[in-house]
Amino acid sequence: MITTTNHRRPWLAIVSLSAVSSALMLGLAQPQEPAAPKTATPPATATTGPQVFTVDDVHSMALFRVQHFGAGQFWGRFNDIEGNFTFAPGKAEGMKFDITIKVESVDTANDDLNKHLRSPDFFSAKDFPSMTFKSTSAMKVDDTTYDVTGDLTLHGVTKTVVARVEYCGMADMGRGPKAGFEAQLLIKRSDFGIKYGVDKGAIGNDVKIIVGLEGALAKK
Amino acid sequence: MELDIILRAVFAPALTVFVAALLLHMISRKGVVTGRHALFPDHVAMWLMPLRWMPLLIVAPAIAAHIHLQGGFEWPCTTSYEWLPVAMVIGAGVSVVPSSASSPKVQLLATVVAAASAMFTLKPPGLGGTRYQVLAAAIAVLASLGAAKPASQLRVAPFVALWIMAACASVLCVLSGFAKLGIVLGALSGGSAALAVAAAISPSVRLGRGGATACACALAGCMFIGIGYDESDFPWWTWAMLAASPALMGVGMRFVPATRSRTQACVVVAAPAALAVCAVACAVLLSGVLTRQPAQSSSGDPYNSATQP
Repeated sequence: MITTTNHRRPWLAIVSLSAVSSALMLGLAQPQEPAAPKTATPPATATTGPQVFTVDDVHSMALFRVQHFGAGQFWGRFNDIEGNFTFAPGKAEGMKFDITIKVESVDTANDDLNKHLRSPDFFSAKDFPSMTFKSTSAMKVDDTTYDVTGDLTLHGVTKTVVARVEYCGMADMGRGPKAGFEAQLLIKRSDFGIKYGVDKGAIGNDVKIIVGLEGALAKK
Repeated sequence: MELDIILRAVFAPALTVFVAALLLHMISRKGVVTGRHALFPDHVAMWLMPLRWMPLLIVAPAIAAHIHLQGGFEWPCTTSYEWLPVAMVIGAGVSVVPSSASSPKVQLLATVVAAASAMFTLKPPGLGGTRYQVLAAAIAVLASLGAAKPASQLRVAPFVALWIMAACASVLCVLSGFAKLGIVLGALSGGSAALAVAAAISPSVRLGRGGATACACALAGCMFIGIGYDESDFPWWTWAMLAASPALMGVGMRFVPATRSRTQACVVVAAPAALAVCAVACAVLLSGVLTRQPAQSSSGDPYNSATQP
């Protein structure tokens, strides 16, 4: 009896160890692997109406581009962006953008230039701490592109502008549904009273603005 | 900063006031233009003396520079900075009274009214309360009273002192990130330099009590606006020191005997200039504006999202 038992024990131990280690490996490895999208079709498509997304300020930004001294194109960005957008995939109806950018967050990777941009020479951040875009209508151009008309308020001046908005996608990677858009528009800064360096063309009047938005589905 | 802007916003207005001051001197002086007879009767010539219009002449370059940089003057003003030329015009307009009045009480009253009306026109961001305006007006009155005696008795020295003080203020504004205000003060400085030359040529060109009040109001107004828009976090008292620096012009008249006129003139220039230079040095050293490292981007941590679970 004792001999038989002694012969069986190594087999049992090997099988048990294999089972436990496999289970542990599977259990530990699973959370480290990137999760596949839970839904092939975004959840919003299942619903008929548009849904509201809150802008994720870390994964959203606004870039601006302006010509400097008639030569290079100079880029800067605004880091603090907030607001929300409403949409249903594939539909222009009900599409809304209400975005606010904090002017104080202007970032050109140069402290002196940031200070100058915040001063009344340019954005006058203390007089006009934020710039806003509130959409008034949207028109579908193709499956992923929309022309969104809205009121852009910058430097205390409100003008109606049309932004070309590209739908980037929507997915749920395990942290709730997220959707993304990229908007582009071209403005003349002198229209908004920002005229420093315009007259001699030292700093261009045409400013290209690119806004990358990522939003998380707002909790009801 | 473009040379073109400096030429148009600083040198051109300075040259204009230089010519205007000399023209006023010529047409108000008996017999200069016509040879034997005055161009205007005495009572008209009295009104055309450069001293009478000095409050407006001295701030004219700064106002012209402001309007040039803004691409015109828009009414109503939307930002605190846009109110600056209005404050300067009010201050200079009221300052014509002390340059004309002979009664000390009227002169004092006009100085207080000029300073108060100019400072209460301005509401810099974050400094909109009445106490700040009262403080700014008090500094302007102090500066004006200190500068009054040398401005009315000496010809060239007050202009030279103002030239240096405005230049220092201009440097402070540029370092604070506000280039336009720096150019406006550069124009005030350039105008003072041009009028110093005009004063050396013509004996009737003087800053005068009214001019001193107008300058004090303009300088205090610029500093009041500058501190409101300061992006370099300069200590507030450095701005106040610059605004009050014209008051030290009186030191030369108070402590140096009138018989030593050259020494007196030197002290009238050196005392406020030293205070102005000291203010800029303190601002730069204490804020570390010239040695500061580039600011880190606030978006450095991609996982610091408020919307991330």
